[in-house]
Amino acid sequence: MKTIAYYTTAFLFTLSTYVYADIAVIVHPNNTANINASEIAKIFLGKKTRFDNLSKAIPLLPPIGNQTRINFLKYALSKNETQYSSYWSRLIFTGKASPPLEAATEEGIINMVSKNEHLIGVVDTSYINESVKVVGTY
Amino acid sequence: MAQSRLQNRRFLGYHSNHLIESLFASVIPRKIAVICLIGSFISDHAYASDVWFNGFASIVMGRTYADRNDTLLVDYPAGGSYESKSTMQTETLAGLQMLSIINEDLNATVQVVGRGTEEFNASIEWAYFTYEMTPEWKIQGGRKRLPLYFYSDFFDLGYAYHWIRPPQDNYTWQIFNYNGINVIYNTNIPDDWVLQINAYYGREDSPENPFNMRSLRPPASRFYQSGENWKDIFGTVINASKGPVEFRINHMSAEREITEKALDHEKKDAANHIQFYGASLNYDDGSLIVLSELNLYQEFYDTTTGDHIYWETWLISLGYRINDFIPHVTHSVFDSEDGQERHETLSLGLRWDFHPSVAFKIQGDKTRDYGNGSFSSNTDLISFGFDAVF
Repeated sequence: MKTIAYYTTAFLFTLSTYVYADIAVIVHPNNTANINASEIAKIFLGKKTRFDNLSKAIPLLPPIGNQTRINFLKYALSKNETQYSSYWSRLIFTGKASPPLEAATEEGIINMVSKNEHLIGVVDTSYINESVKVVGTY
Repeated sequence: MAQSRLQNRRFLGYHSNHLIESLFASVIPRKIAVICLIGSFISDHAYASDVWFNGFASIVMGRTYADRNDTLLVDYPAGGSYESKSTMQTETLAGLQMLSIINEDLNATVQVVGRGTEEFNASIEWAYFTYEMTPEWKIQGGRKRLPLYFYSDFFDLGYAYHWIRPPQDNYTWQIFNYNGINVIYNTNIPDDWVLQINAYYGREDSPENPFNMRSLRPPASRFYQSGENWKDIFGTVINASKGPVEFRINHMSAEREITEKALDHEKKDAANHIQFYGASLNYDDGSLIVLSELNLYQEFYDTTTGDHIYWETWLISLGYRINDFIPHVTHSVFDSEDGQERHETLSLGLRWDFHPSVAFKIQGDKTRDYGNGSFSSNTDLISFGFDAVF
């Protein structure tokens, strides 16, 4: 009985790990740029506006309040929604960078990224299909 | 669903007046403007002309508590001050920024701000184009904020900092914007540092300078004007950041001229050479916030002998983020070599982010003036308000 409880707990822990590691950063399948976690953070913080192949990089996020977005900001950028918008307000109103784009839904993000080589999007892994390429998970 | 909205937008984007559409976008959700923008990126006519609106607003109320000399100047550039009667006029403002994307490499920005101190007469504060020459080099031309201090660029944007205002002992100069050109070099250096270097050149004529007319020479008649012109402004700003650390140093030099115009006379002082040096080191790891700034301003009366006087300003601020609250404490100092202008402020405040784009703030300031002239005052100030971005 104890063993079952142990394995059940272990299984739930494993499951919960998956539940947290469920964010994917995606690009167009033809995008061959090298993109690691540090590049992803720089692009979503407006510190880089190009991929390493010099093609323009345009970040695309789910809307404010979306759980995938909240988790991405937390795990990839160590920021909450307020810190992120405060950070971006400085860049926007001083003309230093254009803000990340937002799409109404995660299906929409998949759709847009699959059609535009400049976009780099954030979605829940459950939305992933062969029309996009995953370059990072959180 | 998103796709159909997108197509719909694209359709509108091609067949309607962009400006009108964007005006709608500014009133209704920003998402629509966003989708409109995506539409142009995705379409065959990639980077077709698009307009993007963003705005900010601050509603602030405050009053002073003092036995005498109860006027406290808090906004030097616009000449805003508080007295012992509650007012919302001093620091309430609203701004609207329009970003027009002309093509992949060229865009134009216009920022209009209406201030309570100026009866909310909206004026164009910024208007410039940005041309991206290469991924690392950009050039901007037009009217921009003069980036003397760390917070100069977003002085009006209360949402971007934890105070009600950047400490008034530091943010004191009469010239606030300039017309000219700015070259920006952005690069990623090893070990994940991001480096940005700005170099700018320009001038600014302020024939009816709010600070001068208010504080420097009291008006002799109602036709009196005191102007401030800075010519040959040349400056550089170097900004380096990595994770929670941001470091900034800057230098500016200019020729400063003060003009005077009254009913019976008109006078133009010879231009004095001025130099400004600034350094700031900021840290924000998500919980702990440390902000520091040190500035030196020199004015040369005689460039051949090097005769000059100088003013020093500095500040240190500590904050700690607890969920949606940031309690903070700040000490700021203004010190002139000749003892004419000396004042310092101790501030205690709280920022509450009760909404992703609106913050409530309350702050108490204790200002003490030790100068021989009376630029500031011995006054306590309580102010509170809301800052929003949209």
